[in-house]
Amino acid sequence: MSLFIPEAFIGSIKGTIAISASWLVINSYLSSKNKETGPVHLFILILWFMLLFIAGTFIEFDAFYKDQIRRVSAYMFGLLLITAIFSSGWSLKREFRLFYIFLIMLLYGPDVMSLSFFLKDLSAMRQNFTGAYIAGITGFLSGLSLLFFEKKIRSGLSPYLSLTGLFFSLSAIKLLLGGTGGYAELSLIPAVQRGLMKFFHDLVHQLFVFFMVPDHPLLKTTVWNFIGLIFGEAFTMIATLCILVIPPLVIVLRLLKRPEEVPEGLKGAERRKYIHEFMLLNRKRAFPIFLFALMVSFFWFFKAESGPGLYIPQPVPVVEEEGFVIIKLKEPGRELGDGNIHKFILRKDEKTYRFFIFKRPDGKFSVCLDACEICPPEGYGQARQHLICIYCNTPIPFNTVGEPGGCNPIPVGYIMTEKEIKIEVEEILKKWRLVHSGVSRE
Amino acid sequence: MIKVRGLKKVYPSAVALRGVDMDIQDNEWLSIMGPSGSGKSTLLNILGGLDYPTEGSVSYDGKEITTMKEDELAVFRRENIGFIFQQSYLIPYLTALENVMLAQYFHSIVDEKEAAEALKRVGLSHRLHHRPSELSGGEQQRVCIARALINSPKVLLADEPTGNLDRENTRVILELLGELHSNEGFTIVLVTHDPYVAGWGKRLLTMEDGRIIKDESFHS
Repeated sequence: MSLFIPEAFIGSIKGTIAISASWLVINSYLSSKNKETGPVHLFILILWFMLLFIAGTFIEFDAFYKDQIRRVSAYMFGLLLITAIFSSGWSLKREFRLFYIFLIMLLYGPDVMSLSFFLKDLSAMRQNFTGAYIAGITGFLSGLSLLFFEKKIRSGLSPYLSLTGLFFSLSAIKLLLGGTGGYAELSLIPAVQRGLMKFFHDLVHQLFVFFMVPDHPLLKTTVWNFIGLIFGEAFTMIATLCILVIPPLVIVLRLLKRPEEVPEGLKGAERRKYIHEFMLLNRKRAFPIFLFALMVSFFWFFKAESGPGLYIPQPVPVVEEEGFVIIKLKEPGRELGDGNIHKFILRKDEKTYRFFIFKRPDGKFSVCLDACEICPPEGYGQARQHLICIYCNTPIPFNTVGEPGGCNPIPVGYIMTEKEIKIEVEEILKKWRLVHSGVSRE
Repeated sequence: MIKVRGLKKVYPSAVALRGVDMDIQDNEWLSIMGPSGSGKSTLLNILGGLDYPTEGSVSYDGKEITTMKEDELAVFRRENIGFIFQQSYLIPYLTALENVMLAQYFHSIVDEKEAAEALKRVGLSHRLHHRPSELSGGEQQRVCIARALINSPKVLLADEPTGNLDRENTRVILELLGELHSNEGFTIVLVTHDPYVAGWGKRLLTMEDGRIIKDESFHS
């Protein structure tokens, strides 16, 4: 049996369980405050997701917009996480009831659209529209079945949820089940790590500029190699763990403290009972937050163990033809415009020169040397949103590949026809002299 | 107020209570006397929620306890009732202070200062860090009183609290109970064989063969 039916089913059930679980957690929080949300809200929610699903299925979206929709999901997740950290001590009043509904709408809207793209692509690939959609809708309905346990789950969960705990629980559900990118959406950790890499990298650059560090080859290479450690894989992985785990743990520690004030008039056993009940409630409320920190630590360890996970293709040998290297856009087993990095290697005068061709998300082709002006030429690997320098781990956003200078791969001019790309060999040799020179010529 | 209605307790081999009805007012000191096997301790155990009756009801301020589940009853006991028995049942490897703190721990949280204060009130400030084996019988029973009262119960149930003590120590314990009763205002239900001990109460119930045969009130 083809695997696309289970793929469609699991993709749908995963997304729907995430939505149902989030709804249940929110209802549990609301019921602890005697704020009920009725079936009307659930109906609005389901209607909203159905509309988005239909839109994703029947409206043709450009690849660029599809990518943007997936990004919105990641941003929503980040926003939720930040809110979780800063919401410690907040409490929302009854009037904010609809806020929770909008939260789920915003949080899972992009995921629902991504799910419809996923099913559409799957059905197109397998040329079986009905099969993919029947499996998808079955998965969707199965995920909704979680709502039958609403009452039981609600009464069990409600003592454990403060507003902060609610946001962290939603983050955990989103992290475990959100998106269509796999059984567990682990992109949080690499996303934060790449963000930190870029932050540290840009910070160092700005400091160099601010302190007018001279543009000397020694500083640009040797010193840079040492400074590069702070935006390297190991350092930023630890920084990622700190950023994701320390704030929730600080909140947990705060919740485990005794109350600062006890109501006047309480003495002896009554006073102890008040403190005990206060601490017991807070311990329960700390539990989901601690669980989130534990889960992130587990995923972090999993991610740290599995390494950077870069796509690094083997360079394909090419030869010179009348002063040019000519590469066809499409060949059996290779398509230059597929969004992946394609590496090539040219041998001339007992020397080797590596370069790559990459089609950016904005549709523009870039031809670059597999090296920059700063690092030793270890080349680049491809992550989800960036090319990554294998030597210093600097992330290069896809749409800036082909721009000259700094840590970017050195761009090479090319001539493009309908069927092929032509690169002048002399240009490759000339540009390769800049590699690891520490001197920018652009 | 404690209301007892139609209380019966039947064991496979004997009938301990044959229908007991009584009311106990708040802040009352009630003594229960009677010969061995008359049902005094069984009545006390059911009043304290340590045992279930075969028939009948016991309610505290309208709250029925005979229909409560084990865990509900445990919470009720913890928050409303203090017990003193003939034997001290102190933990032998804990000090007097730690024994009192243990009762705090099972109630809510420990507070060493408060526990020390409670032992001071029963005249044991110089014995805080002594183990039970290093205390006399009277001192052990005073630790038991401090332990029973540390969680501010509404009712203190005492089953032969002075049964192991000589007359002098019995007097000391009863004086102490009298003083705490006046100051803190909890209800005392005390079971005894000894008319001297029973005489410290304001009311005396006499039991025989599972029934109350006499109910007397004394006015000082």
